Amino acid sequence: MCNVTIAFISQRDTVLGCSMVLCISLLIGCIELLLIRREFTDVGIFSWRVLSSRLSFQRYFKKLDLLFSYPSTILVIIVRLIFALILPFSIAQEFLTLFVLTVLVFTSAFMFFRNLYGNDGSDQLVHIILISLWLGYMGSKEALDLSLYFIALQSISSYVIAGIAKLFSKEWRTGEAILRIMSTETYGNKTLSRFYKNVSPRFLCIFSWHIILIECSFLLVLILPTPFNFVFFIWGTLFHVYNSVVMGLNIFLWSFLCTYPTIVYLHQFLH
Amino acid sequence: MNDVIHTVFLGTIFFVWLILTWLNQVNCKLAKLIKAKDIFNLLPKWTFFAPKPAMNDLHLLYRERDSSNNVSLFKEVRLLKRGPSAILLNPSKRKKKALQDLVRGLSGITSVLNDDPIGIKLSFYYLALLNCLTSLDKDPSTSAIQFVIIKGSGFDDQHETELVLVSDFHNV
Repeated sequence: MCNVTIAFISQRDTVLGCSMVLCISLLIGCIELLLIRREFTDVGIFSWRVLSSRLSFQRYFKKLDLLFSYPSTILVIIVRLIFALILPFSIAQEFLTLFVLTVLVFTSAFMFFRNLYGNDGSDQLVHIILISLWLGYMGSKEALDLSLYFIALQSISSYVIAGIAKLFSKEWRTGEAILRIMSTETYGNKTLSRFYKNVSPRFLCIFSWHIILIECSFLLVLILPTPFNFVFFIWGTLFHVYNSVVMGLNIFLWSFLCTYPTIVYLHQFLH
Repeated sequence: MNDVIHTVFLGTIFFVWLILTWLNQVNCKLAKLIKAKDIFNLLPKWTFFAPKPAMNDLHLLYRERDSSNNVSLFKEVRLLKRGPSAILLNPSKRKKKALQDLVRGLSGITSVLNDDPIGIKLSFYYLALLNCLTSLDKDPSTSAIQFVIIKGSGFDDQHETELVLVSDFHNV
């Protein structure tokens, strides 16, 4: 008879766990942007002079040109980095957490508003987590609970939606997508591409279907009792480690891992 | 009482946000209309690499022309290759993603505005790419620059490369 006792996870533990991993994600993001800071100048790929031309309402933001240009943007990234470091240590003090989150939310909105391209799903998830926590911290304990549940549901949605989208794709159902993605220089890997090319198509098909089936059934993480639902967390972690090592999607690992405590918290609420 | 109102209000916001997120995954008119208003990127697209995964690489190449009309060979805008440290820090990924987004955007516009070369040249994507290219290290005698976008199949040599766009020469 399986008899596993899982410790109760409090709201504070959940926020702390989430913010510690979120902090890593934010730090990596900021350091990466600082390493390519030249791209924010007028001749770089993130030149505000060019980016602002795309906005139809740019005339309203003309006065803010100085803020969005170089080097002000770099200053905003540095501020974001400092507050990301403070975030896990601020959890003990509610008012301080709210202040730190406010700065992080505004710098996040700033970056998304400014950089219309070059962002990926991990940046977006971090953005959503920050806004949700910020809204939750503005209210009562119940409000913060709601924000943690929302983060959990967004995270689960991302897996399920990705799974369903793959299910509707012929390339994914046959396993061809894995081979073709691995063959690209952008997300692929030469050695793995060669390996996948030499394995039997059945292997690729099984590999592809295992991703589709687990992603589609990710909602079970809330239904299955503990510790059986932890299969999804283990799979999710391995999946993101694989994507990080093989595809270079390093921030996805931390952005998605930071939502796992909130899923555990929602599971606990439902059971 | 205020706390209750705030909690109910927040619950409603999260509920609507979640519904709009789900709606944003579908390719419908309403979703496109809502997404157009989403300037702060609150509505994610969770379909990662599906249903149509990125199965090609888009390459950006350029060549220079000097005042005597001598034209150089095409050079590719090369981005840093991923090393083992990319597991922790992968800054080139951001530049690569931005460049891919621009090239993809321009490639998309080209297929729609095929008969409107002026429209293509005045598009945001075209201008942004041109701005990037003018900042690259060039021969001092360069007076104009031209770029091309090529669709390649990466490490897979079974699929052919395809020319997507050839720009005019632009003075630099």
